[in-house]
Amino acid sequence: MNDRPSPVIADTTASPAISFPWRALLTALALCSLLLIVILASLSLGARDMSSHHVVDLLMAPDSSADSVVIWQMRLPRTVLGLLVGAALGLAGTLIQALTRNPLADPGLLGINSGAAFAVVVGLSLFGIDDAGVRLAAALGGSAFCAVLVYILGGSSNGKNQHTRLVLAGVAISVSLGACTGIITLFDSAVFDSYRFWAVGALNSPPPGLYSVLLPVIGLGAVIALSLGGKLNALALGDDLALALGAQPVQVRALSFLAITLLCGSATAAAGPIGFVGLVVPHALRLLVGQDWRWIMWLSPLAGAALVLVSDILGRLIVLPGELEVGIVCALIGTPVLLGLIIHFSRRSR
Amino acid sequence: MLDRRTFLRATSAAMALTAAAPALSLATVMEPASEQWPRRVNHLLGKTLIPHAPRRVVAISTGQLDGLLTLGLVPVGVTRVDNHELTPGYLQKAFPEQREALAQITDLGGRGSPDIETLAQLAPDLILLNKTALKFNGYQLYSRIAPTVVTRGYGANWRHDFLIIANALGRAHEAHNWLARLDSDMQRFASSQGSRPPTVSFLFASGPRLRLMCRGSLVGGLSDALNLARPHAQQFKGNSLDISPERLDMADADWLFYADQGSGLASLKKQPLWNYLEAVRNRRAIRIDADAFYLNAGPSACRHIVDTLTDTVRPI
Repeated sequence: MNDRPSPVIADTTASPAISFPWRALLTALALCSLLLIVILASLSLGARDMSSHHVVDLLMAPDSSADSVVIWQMRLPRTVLGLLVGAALGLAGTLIQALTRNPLADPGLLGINSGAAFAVVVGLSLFGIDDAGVRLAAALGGSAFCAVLVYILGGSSNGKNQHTRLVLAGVAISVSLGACTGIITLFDSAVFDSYRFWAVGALNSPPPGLYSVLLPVIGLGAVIALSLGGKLNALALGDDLALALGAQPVQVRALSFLAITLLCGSATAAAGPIGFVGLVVPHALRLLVGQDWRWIMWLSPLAGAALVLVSDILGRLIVLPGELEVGIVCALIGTPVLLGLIIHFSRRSR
Repeated sequence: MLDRRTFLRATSAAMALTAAAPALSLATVMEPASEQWPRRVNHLLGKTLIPHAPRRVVAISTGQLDGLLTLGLVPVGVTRVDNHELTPGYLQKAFPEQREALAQITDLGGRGSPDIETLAQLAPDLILLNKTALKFNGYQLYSRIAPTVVTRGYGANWRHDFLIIANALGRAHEAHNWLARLDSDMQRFASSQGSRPPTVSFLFASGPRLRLMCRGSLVGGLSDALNLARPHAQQFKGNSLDISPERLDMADADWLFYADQGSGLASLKKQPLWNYLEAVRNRRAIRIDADAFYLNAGPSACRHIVDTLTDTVRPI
């Protein structure tokens, strides 16, 4: 936020374009194998005790037993949902950190979580609707509305204070909407009862017809995000240099905003606000592969999906025979990871 | 051969009888020879002097509201549980003749932070509350407003708590008669059970969460005393157990009683394993009132539970 050149710029100029990016490839390979293991674990681990042999048998040939129902109607949908949500949150987090050049930014900063929460609460309290489909629509609409508002307030301007304006607008909108949500839930405890379960973030009760909404929205967001990697590298050099390199800062910013809203909005609508994924994933990837946003952008959906699935699996196993919601576990394991990264960073820079 | 279930049933029946006995003898100790005023009442935090028969009583917990209504007295003020009516539905149904009086009760706000000013303005002559509702210095604060009697709260202590309240009101005799009627009804049902009594199970769907009410809960203790068995998967003590939707079959029994809160009903019926339960297939899954069964502990809640169980459960 100050005038001296940030380490981001210093690193991008020494971009690894000359040497072959072995680190990034190795990381991609490691993440892919990790994801594969995690998907298998997500199908075979849970409150219901089943041997992996039995799980494979039922996956090959489903029958009418309760075990088969658990795998096909419970574990498989939540695994797919976890993959989608994690990938979307990882991508959205990377975009927002690249866009704001703020290492503490997470998708919630654009007011997306608070916008979704507010819309869900208003839907619950005004219309008394506690239907998963309506909640999905309300959350999507609320997060989109909020992102547009933040963009108008802080994102559209040019100049070197632009990042600060964006972050401040996001924080201001988030806080005031959070207050509105607080007022409603404080006085209408029936709403609070429904809201609190949504607000912790959970994968185990996907609303019907979810994937027909979720897949195209997340797909579109992902395509935009992945196409922006190189332009974000240019933008990291400052608006003037970016313009000279052929990237339109205003256009890149608007597209990033759109992608973040689509990705984070739909993920939040589907599973509730799940924190820390969008914050931790880009940090961890920067440590592993360097500052090139193109690589980070491609790897972030893999890392995000793996983190969300690992959290979900842990949540199924630590309070047997009950479950902990994925949002709670994510925050629980996300905090030490983040602290570790901060300590690591500060040791390096010393 | 003595099978496991018969043995457990026998021991639990014996336990239920011994559990009832000390509560009664304790109450006999507390009960003064005659209903004289002023009198000292023993309770959880010591002895409280009550100068005359209380007329204007404040009840902080629903269990005490339940106890007061059971003894025929409508309190002047009560607190509310967030999101619930001042008087839970089961009490309104149990005391239709008190409908107007119940509507006159002053709302003292949420249970967590009662409105002390309004409470003081009511000029009560007795304040009843659970130990769990007490905060730092709370007892001293309440005692400065009116004589305060503290009970333990929680399901398993309902009998003891009821007798403390009755004693503070000078209506211990009525309370004993009331309990004797309940006990004889329970005894009759319990002794009518054969050597293989049906199993019962109690499920609570609060939003998307599923919870089994265990043998340590109010409803668990009552069903044990009624000689009803628990299914094999539920042979544990404790108050309640959260279960994953993947383990919904732990809730299966000959008779399944389920209650819901918030979106609980929709989310329970949507569970893929719900239709796999024997009780659901055989139409022996019965929806019950969460307030009376799971959320409050008082004599009329117990009466509601016992009546529901004895009217519903048949050998299969």
